Amino acid sequence: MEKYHEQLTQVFRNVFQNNSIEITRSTTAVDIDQWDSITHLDLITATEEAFKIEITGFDVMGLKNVGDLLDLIARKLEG
Amino acid sequence: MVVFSVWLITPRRFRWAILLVASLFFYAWAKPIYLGLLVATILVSFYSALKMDEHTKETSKKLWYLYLSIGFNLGVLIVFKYLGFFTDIFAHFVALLSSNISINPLKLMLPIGISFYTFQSIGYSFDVYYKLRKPERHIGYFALFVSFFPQILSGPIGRSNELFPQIHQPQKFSWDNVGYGIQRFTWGLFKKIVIADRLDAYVNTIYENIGTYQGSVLWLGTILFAFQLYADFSAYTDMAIGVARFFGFKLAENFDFPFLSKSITEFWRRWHISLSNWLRDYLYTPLQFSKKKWKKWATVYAIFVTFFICGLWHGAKFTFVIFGLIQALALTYEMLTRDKRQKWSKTFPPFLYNNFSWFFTFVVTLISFVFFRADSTADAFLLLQKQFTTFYDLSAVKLFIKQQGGISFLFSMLLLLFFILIDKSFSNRFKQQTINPYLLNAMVSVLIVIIILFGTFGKINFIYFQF
Repeated sequence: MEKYHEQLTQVFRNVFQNNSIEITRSTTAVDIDQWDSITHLDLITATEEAFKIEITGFDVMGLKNVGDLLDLIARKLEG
Repeated sequence: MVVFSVWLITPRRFRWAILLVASLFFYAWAKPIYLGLLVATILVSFYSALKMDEHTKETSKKLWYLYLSIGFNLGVLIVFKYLGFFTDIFAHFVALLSSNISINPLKLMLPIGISFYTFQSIGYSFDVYYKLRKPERHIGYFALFVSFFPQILSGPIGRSNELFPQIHQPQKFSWDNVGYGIQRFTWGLFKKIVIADRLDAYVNTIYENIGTYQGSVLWLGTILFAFQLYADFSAYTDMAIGVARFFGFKLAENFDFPFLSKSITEFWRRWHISLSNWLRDYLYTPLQFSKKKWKKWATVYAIFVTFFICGLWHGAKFTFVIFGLIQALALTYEMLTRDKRQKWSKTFPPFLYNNFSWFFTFVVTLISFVFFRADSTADAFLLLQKQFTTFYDLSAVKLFIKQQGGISFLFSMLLLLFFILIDKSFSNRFKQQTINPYLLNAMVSVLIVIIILFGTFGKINFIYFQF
């Protein structure tokens, strides 16, 4: 999963316009200032574009933290 | 107390059964006829979840069972809560067309707790559908999940991932739990009897005589209502959390100093948290993602639908719908102006920006509360009109205070102030989950004395029971 970590970090930094954001597997919306249910959509669509994958409403439902998102990305890319 | 004693002597493995029996009995005692409805809801939700799991690879079958559960739960909720509302609208429409036909709207009694337990069951059904958890195979455990008596009447709306692990584990007795429970319960009792019920009289006087008061008094009434609603509802939550704790159950928090919010977005992270989280997870997010290609308009769409439902959830009245729409408008505004406001927060001194944000948010909250409390939209608009025209008339406020007994009104305000000041430190202690035993005794004694001396007693009625 670590292979996607750097790329995902860049996505976060772009979406929230903050180059000092660091993410770990246990990071959640509580830890990042502008990350809430409203910006969540922007984050996910940016993730889709960056990794060239499609994330559906179904996929999004169980995401609890960045770790889950990284696992989702891995599943989409590696099957 | 009886339940607790019986629970204590029951071996741990069967304690859930005691709680279930108590919960069903409690519900039957409150409204016997509707126990059948509760049981039916439990059975339908239980069965559909098992079937969803069985057909987990067959999407259309699985969806069918999801619709079954949601349809039944919502159907029950809609029939009992909203049928009158819709037949009213229908009747008005028909009356417009022909004055010969008159329809008597069917008004059914609202089964208590229905808005809460149906939502809790629907949440569970979604969790199973989205494979967030396996269905509960033990009907007794599931029945307890839906009907758990501390929370069935007015929440907090429980989530399956919070409750089932606790139901599955044998619940141990602990003095810590009892201590915490007593404290939490007493704090809630204080809020309800000393603060909320006291404010109730003043709020009623003002809201029932909107015509006689000036805008300034109407603002006072609305501010008092805001605190009354907060004290009343959070009191119920405290008591529910406290009672549940006797049995070792930790229920979710529902409030986090909502009136400190500096934006409406923040408000919904601090007010009725269990409901707003529920709406966010099961309604808002799926809606938002289903219209992903609309980009930010997907979010606007999701906000409006969600808050329309949120308003409607509170009751079958247009005033509640407008309450929801005001929230939706505010949230949409905040979303669309996010970048601009970010810039402003850097341009203006923080003290100015933060306080203005707080003030603006509080005013919007109060305006939406006018609709929450007013008996009709006509009343609400009249009230708002006065609030924005004669708000400067302070002599009217002085007169009102005198009419309410001068000193006794001011004393109530003093109690309210006392409450506001200590709310934060008390609530923070509760959130820490640890209680200093000496402090516990001191607190409880003081609170009990205060309740006895200053409580207004009479018919105990919680505002959120009507939902």
